[in-house]
Amino acid sequence: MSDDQIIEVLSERAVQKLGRQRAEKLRPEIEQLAADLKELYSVPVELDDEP
Amino acid sequence: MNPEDLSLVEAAAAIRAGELSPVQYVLSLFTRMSEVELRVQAWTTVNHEDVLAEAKKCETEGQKKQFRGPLHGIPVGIKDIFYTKGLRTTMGSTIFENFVPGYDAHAVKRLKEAGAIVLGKSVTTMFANLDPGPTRNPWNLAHTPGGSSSGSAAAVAARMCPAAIGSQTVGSVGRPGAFNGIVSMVPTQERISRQGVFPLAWSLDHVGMFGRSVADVELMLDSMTESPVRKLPERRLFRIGVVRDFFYENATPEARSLNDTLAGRLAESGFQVEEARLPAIFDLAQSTLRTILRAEVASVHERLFAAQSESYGEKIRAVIETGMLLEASDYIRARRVRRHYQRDMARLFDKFDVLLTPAARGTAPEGIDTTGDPVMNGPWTLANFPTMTVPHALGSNGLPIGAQLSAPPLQEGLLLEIAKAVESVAGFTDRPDL
Repeated sequence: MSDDQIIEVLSERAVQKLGRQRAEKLRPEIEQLAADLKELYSVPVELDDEP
Repeated sequence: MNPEDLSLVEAAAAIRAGELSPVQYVLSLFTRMSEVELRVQAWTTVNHEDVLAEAKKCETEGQKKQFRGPLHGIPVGIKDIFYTKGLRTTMGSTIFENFVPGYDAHAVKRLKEAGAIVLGKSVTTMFANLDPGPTRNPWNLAHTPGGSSSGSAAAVAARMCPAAIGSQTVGSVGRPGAFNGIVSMVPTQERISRQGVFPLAWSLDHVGMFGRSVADVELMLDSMTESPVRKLPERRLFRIGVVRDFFYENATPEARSLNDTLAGRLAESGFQVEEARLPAIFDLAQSTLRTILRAEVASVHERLFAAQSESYGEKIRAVIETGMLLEASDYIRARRVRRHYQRDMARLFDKFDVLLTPAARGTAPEGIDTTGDPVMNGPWTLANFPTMTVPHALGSNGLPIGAQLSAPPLQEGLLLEIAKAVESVAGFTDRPDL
């Protein structure tokens, strides 16, 4: 997924859970969260990398 | 010398020798509080009567040579997220402004068993996150003391107590340690129980402590640890890795320069000092840390936030709300990347005994609407490496600068030994003029 697609998914979730006004206010944090998630899925993990 | 100027180790020895009365000691700290607390605002709750009563008991016992432990009669500060039996514990939140726990956190219990007296509860940022409390930096009241263990660090620096405990989830001990010109330690998470400490993020939370010397912090650790800290049998050639990648990019030119000066002095003093290069996985440290933090904070506050969201500060509210947007697979992914990170980061110690970085970007920022940036500390908290902050210089604005030392997990004995040597080489003796 592209950055914009991840942001869109997260924003929709924010509207559902927090309401539109709050979701809009959280936009910078949602963009940071999207960037963080993209980074986290960019690195391979091994089976013995237990949570 | 005034009792409030004694180090923890000095005061403990003086009490045991009968040269310092626990009652006199407590009274001198009360006097110090009356002189500076209105300006510093380090304390949330101090019950003078109970403290004095406990000091009298310690005094009576001491007269009979009955000592509870190595901290007999020593008053200490407790961050206001540690449960204290019968003593208000607010978590820095109005939601808990009248909450009085029925039991002590395990770490507090350990301190009491060692003979310590709970002097009071020290200011925490709201729920130990980033929304600041009222505390000011004793070195310059216009500056932040750092956080989230703001009151603990400021109280030790301001000579209102010889030592205090705090907690670190990202940079809540190392940063205030540096900003207040005192020694701080965050041991490996498993060293000190977190039972009875209101969590911020379970897998990242660590109990830590502040003192005015490495020896003071060592005594606090020995009093609280769940497993004995193995001391080094003898001094040997220590290998120090200076980490410039990332840390120098985030430090002020002054902090970089002073850190290099310290490294040079350590090399001249017989340490083997070389540059350490970070593994590629380090690039994911911040995103991994933030993702775990968001998910766990959201879970901790799930019910409370649903009922009282209006009572939350803006910063922690944003963490909770973004955490609510994560899915289980995202959190598990972050935990697995963390494991990868810990494995690769541990390889740094194949070449070095400890790693050296600045403990903060620079000196404490001006203003108390922020507690500063924990960016220098979070990578080590994520790795679960024990760390110490040792003050070593003053910046051009007269505020202290600290060095951060990191060691392999559970190697606190090694870390303490090297920190003592760094403390000796640095020779930092400045103190705030309040």
